[in-house]
Amino acid sequence: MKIVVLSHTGSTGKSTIAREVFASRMPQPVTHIEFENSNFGSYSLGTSDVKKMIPSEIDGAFVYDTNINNSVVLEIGASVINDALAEFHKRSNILSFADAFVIPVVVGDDKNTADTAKTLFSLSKLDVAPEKIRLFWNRFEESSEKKIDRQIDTIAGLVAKAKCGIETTEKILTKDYILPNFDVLADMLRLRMTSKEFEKPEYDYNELLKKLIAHKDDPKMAKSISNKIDIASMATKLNERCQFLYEKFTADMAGAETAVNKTSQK
Amino acid sequence: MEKEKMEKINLAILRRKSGKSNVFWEQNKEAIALLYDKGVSINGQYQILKEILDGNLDISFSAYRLLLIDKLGYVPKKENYDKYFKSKKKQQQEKKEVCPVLESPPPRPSEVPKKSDAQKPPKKEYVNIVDEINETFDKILSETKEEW
Repeated sequence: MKIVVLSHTGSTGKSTIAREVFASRMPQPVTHIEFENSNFGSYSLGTSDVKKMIPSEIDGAFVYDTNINNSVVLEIGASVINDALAEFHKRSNILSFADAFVIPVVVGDDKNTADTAKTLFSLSKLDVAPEKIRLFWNRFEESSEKKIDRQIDTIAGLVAKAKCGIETTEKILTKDYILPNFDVLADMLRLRMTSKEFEKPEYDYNELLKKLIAHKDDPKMAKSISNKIDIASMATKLNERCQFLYEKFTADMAGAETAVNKTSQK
Repeated sequence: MEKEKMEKINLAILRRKSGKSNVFWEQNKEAIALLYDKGVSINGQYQILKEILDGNLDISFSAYRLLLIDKLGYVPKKENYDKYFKSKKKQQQEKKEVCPVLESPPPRPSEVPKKSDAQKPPKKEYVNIVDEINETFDKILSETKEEW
C-alpha cells in the first residue's frame, strides 16, 4: 500500500501515524519519505529509514521510489504543504501512485478543524478521488467523542461551501479511525523505536518479570528492567491499537479501490 | 469565532445532517414558501411556524436559516433577503399572477436576480494552485464568520 499523510496544521501527529500505524506494519521494505524545507539526508526510525526530500526535487528519485516499491509512506507537513501542492499541480498524475491519503486531525482543535477542510479542498483540486481519503482522529481522550461530532459537522459545512465534491463522500467524515492519547509515544521517540518492535520476545511481559525477579538484588539492573516493563506494557497497548487501525484501514482501502475503479469505469 | 457561535453552527449542521430539517421542509414547505413570499422576516417566519406547530418546532433557528440556504439557495443577510423579496414582488406584479406560490415550488437560486456579467469582476485566473486554495478558503472562512 502507498499512503500520503498530510496536513495544513503542524503537530497533528502526522509522523506518529505515518510511523506507528503504517510504516512499521507494512510489508517490508518500506519507502518512507518526509517532505522537508531542507534536504538533510535520512534518519533511522524503527524498522525503516525516513528519507528527507524537498518538494521541488520530486522528479527523479521520488518518482522511482514511489513507483518501484509496494510499500510507500509520504509525509507532508504544514511547513511544506504549499510547496508540495504547487509541485504536484505542475506534474499531472504524479499523485496517482498513492492508494490512500490520510489527514490527521487533533480532537478538539478548532484551527486544525478548519485546516482539515482546506486539506480536503486541496486534494480535490489535485483530482484525488474522495474514496481514497480518510481522517485519523488523534489525541482522543475519554468523553471527547462529542468534540469529534462537532468537528465533523464544521468540516462538512466548510467543504459543502467549497463545493469540491468531498461532501458527498460519507466515508471521509466518520469516526472510524481514532488514535487515543498515549503518553508512551514520547518514550517511543526518545528510544527511536515503534510500538511494533515491542512484539519481540525480549519485551515479553512475563520474560521481563522473570528477569526482574532474577535481578532483584541488583538495584541498577532492577530499575532498568522495571523501566522496560513500564514502557513495554504501555507500548503493547499502543501496538494493539495501531495494529487494529492498520488492519481496518487496509480492508477499508481494498473496498475503496473497487469503488474508485467503478467510478473511473463509468 | 466566538465559542457560542461555533456551538450554534455545529448544532445547526448536526441537525441538518441528521435529516431533521429535511423532514421539517417536506412537512412545511408550502407554509414556508408562503411566508417567504409574503416578505415575513426569517425570524418572523420561524415564530409563525412555531405558533402553527404549537411550539413543537423540532429544528433550531440556525437550522432553519441553513434550511433556507439549502432549499432556496438564499444567503441569510437581511439586505439580500429584501433585495430578493422586492424583485420577486416586481416579477409577480408584472406577471399578474394571483398566488404563484401555491401553484409552483419555492424559488430556486437560479431565479434570484444576479448582477449582470458586466458588473461582475472578471473571473480570476490563478497561476499557482496554492493561491487559489488559500484565497478560496479564506473567503469561505470569512463568509462563515459573517453569516453566523
